[in-house]
Amino acid sequence: MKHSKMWSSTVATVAVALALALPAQAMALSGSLKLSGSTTVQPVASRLASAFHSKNPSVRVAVAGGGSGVGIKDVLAGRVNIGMSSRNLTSSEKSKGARGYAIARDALTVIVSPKNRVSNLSQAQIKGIFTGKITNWKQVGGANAPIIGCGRAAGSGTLDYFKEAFLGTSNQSSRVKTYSSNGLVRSAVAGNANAIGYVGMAYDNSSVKGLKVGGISPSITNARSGKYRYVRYLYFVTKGSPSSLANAFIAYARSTSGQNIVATEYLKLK
Amino acid sequence: MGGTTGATALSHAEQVGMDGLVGDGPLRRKLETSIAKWLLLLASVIAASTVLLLIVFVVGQAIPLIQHSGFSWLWGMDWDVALQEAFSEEIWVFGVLPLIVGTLLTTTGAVIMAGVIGMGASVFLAELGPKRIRRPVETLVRLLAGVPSVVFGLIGLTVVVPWVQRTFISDELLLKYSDIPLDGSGLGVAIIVLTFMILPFFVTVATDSLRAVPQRYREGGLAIGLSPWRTVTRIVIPAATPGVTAGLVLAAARAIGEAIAISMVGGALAFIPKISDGPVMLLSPLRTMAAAIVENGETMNVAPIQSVLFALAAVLLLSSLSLSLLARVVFARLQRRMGVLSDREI
Repeated sequence: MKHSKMWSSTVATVAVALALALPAQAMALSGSLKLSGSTTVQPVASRLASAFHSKNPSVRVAVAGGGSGVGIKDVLAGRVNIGMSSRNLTSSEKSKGARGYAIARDALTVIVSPKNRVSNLSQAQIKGIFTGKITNWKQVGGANAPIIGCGRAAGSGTLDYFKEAFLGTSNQSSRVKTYSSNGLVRSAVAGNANAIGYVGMAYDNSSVKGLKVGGISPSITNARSGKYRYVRYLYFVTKGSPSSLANAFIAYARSTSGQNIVATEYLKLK
Repeated sequence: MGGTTGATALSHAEQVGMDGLVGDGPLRRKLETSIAKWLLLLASVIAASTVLLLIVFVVGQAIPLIQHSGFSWLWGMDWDVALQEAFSEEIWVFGVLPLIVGTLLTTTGAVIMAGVIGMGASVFLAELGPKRIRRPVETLVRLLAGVPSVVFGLIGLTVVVPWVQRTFISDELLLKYSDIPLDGSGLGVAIIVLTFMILPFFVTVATDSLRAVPQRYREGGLAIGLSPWRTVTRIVIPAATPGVTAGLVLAAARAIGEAIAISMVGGALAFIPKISDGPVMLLSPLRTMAAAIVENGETMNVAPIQSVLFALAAVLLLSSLSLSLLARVVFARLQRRMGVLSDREI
């Protein structure tokens, strides 16, 4: 009895020693990753997370929103392993150690209610609306009704790119309602025939109508071919070099199978 | 629970009696008491110092803003654009006046509404309601206090806002007030949501104040031939004024800090509703100080914005604390002036 117990514990020790000695690559990944940030990146990150989890069942990936600013702040503070951002990193964020890894490209879509008869606006008209110079739909070929602008608040990566692409050096007018996520902008626009807003292309569904810009519709095909010009990069952000698990997840997102998942919501990197 | 304590006490007594060591008793009791005293002192120091630490921390975070731009942010008019500018380069110019006005309007509106409805409910519960239904109604009102504010916000956003939009916002109204983005959300819905949130707090305090009015006041009223209704309105309610007023002030302190629900139904715009617009004022969007802290939290990684959000928190904290203090002062003053004495004091 005593003998056999000792024997089995020796076997166990040897097994543990062998397992530890095995090269790291051969071992299955395990552990957990936390992501937070851009609500634009969030849907695709969630899909990547569940696919990554089914490949590596002992890895848990939790994805939360908050907005690009929150994601970058969280990752720099060590609260999450990966931040998600839909805007480029600022120089001050880079100096604090933030590193961005592009994982997808996204077309910014300008949306209105399906009830709105306007379906095409020029870049200048969109700028006029969001800087407060154009205030009635009839000025751009619609019904005689005031325009209700719905946008994002400062700190949002989507606002950042929207300003870069459409507003130039001007600010978004203080009469534009500001919401804290893509989803809230979409529901505000869906519920109001006079509203106009902008969201990442993954949020353009049947509850709203994606406007053509300068006659070009914001379809995946047009965005991929470069005909629709309002396309930005989406990033995973780490502080310094990523941990091996975070690195594996980022590499997966950028791999062929990861990019095929990306393509369900956004544009592949290449 | 009570049984256990009783058993322990008994066994302790038995022990003392059995050993007959009376000399140990007082010493041990003294020691126990003094340890308990110190622990209780520690507990109250922790509780009391939390408030002071909070004030020091929050005000401390607001100081960079005051160093850069004094108090100009208090009466500046522009919030959203200033945030955009501060986010792209280090600018310390902000305007929180629309947020202050938004907070004052929603709080005042809700306190008035809750005061009127709550007074009715309290008179029913404390004085005139049939005894059989008082209990269940009071339980329900107290349950209302436990409903998380986000639930109020959700119902406001999905039910009340679309209803207001369908019922009150016509095409003509939209064109007439084209400079106000009208979509159903705004001051009116914010006041409704906030009213139901503070109502249970007020009803609880007001009901207790009415009940605290000595029975002989009512007997006196009835004795000189007043009807029960008149007795309540002419004698009981005036006698309960100190408590009722204090309840209103406490409800206001609760209302100014509400963030989530107001941010959901307030209309997502730092806009100042204008009295000159008449009833349309109630449809105008607004943003309160507390809602701004939630909605603009995303920009906290920028130093000037972090500082201005803490400045808002400081304004909120100080107003809330002064309202609580005011409630005490008002209560004491009114009670002294009116010479109301409880049965015990006679």
